Amino acid sequence: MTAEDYNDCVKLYADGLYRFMLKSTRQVEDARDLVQSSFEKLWEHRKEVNTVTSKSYLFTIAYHKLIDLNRKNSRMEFRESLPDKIEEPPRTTPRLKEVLEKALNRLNDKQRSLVLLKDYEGYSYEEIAEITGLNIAQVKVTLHRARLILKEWLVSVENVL
Amino acid sequence: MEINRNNYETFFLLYVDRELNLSDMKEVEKFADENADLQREFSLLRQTVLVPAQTEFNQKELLFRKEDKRRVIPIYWSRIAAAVAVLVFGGWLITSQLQRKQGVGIVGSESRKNAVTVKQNSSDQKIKDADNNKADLPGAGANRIQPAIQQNIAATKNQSAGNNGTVKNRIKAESDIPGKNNPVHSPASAHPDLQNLSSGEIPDGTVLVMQKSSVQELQPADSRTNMDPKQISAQPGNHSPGLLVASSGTAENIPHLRDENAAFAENEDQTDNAISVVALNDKNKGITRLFKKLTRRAPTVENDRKVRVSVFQFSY
Repeated sequence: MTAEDYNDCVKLYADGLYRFMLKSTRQVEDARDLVQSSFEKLWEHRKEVNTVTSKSYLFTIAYHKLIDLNRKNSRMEFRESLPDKIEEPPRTTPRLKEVLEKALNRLNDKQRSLVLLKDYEGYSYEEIAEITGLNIAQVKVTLHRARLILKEWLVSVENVL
Repeated sequence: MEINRNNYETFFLLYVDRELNLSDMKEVEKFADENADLQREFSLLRQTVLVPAQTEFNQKELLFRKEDKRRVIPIYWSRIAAAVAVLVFGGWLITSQLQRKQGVGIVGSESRKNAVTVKQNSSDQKIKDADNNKADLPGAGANRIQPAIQQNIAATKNQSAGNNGTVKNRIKAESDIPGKNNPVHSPASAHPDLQNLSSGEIPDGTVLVMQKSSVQELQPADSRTNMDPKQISAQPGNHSPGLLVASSGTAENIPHLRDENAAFAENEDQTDNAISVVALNDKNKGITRLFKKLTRRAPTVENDRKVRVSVFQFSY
């Protein structure tokens, strides 16, 4: 990968990676730091990375950095979470997207990350398995459990409404 | 594998995750339509798919990079060492040549370290020879001083050529020294060493010897050894017209020298251009600075330049 290819990666994947990090961490600064550190590592290993697999490599780096951060934060309980509605203006009537945002917070870190990789980035089971280091069956089971949790949350919200 | 009521959940999830091919997806949709009790569950699972939000990372400029094109400039130590060696050798060569040139004469500015020491033995012998050849002529002493001054000036000219034009100009004044054209006696013709001097050959220490002899000739021969150096002064009978042999008050005793000293006082700031001579001091039997500021550049009067020899300093 050349410097030009790297800069193309920045243009193509920086937004998606930031979104993935922001949804996973729910912290703007954490998300920015993870994005920068991920691209920094991609730059350092650019000669070893093929341009075709650069996105997968980038998200792999980001995912592992995310796990490290989650482990670190699990030992530190003082962090302040962003409000759930930070991305959207306040609304009087809950909408499906807002409900899903809340439902997403009910997932554990692995489930959330896999759902984000699946829905936001459109990765296949195999690609998610490659990024996360899980096997395909684990990815499939984890995603199915996450979907069922989200479905149950939607059902509960519908009952309330 | 075909979808049925036992495995429909797996097919629904695969459908939501877009892991089915197009035909299987149509099969799932058809199965959901045929089973109304499963239709709602199928709809809820489809709603669990997150819709990507438009999120922009606004710090991309921090991520862009450029190839580091800094060029490594090697340091060729061997070439640097060779260049330094050439410079050092050239400097040594020039210095040695300069020192060789400076070894010709003994006269020069003391501050420029151009003075040359003189061998005392050869000087003493030459003093005696000069004394023996000194005629009983009253003007002989003055006539002997003149070649010494000439040689002194000649040596200065050789030494200072190209270095200091002021000395060169000063030398020209030798022709105006009174008594130079005195035909009575010519020391250069009377003594072989002096002949060599007049012919331009300048042996080591010769000039200084002539200075020494000229000073001693200013004194009476019988009182030379007993005279207090403080008492040495210019005497009307035997002093050189161009030479001021001075302790304090000497010039005042001699009218025409007093006038010249007055001219010196006006040009006292020219001491940097003075020519100093290192000579012998017989009394102390060592090399001391007998003469200081022996000659000076005289003021130019009507394009005539003179050389003045003055201000002797005796150590005792």
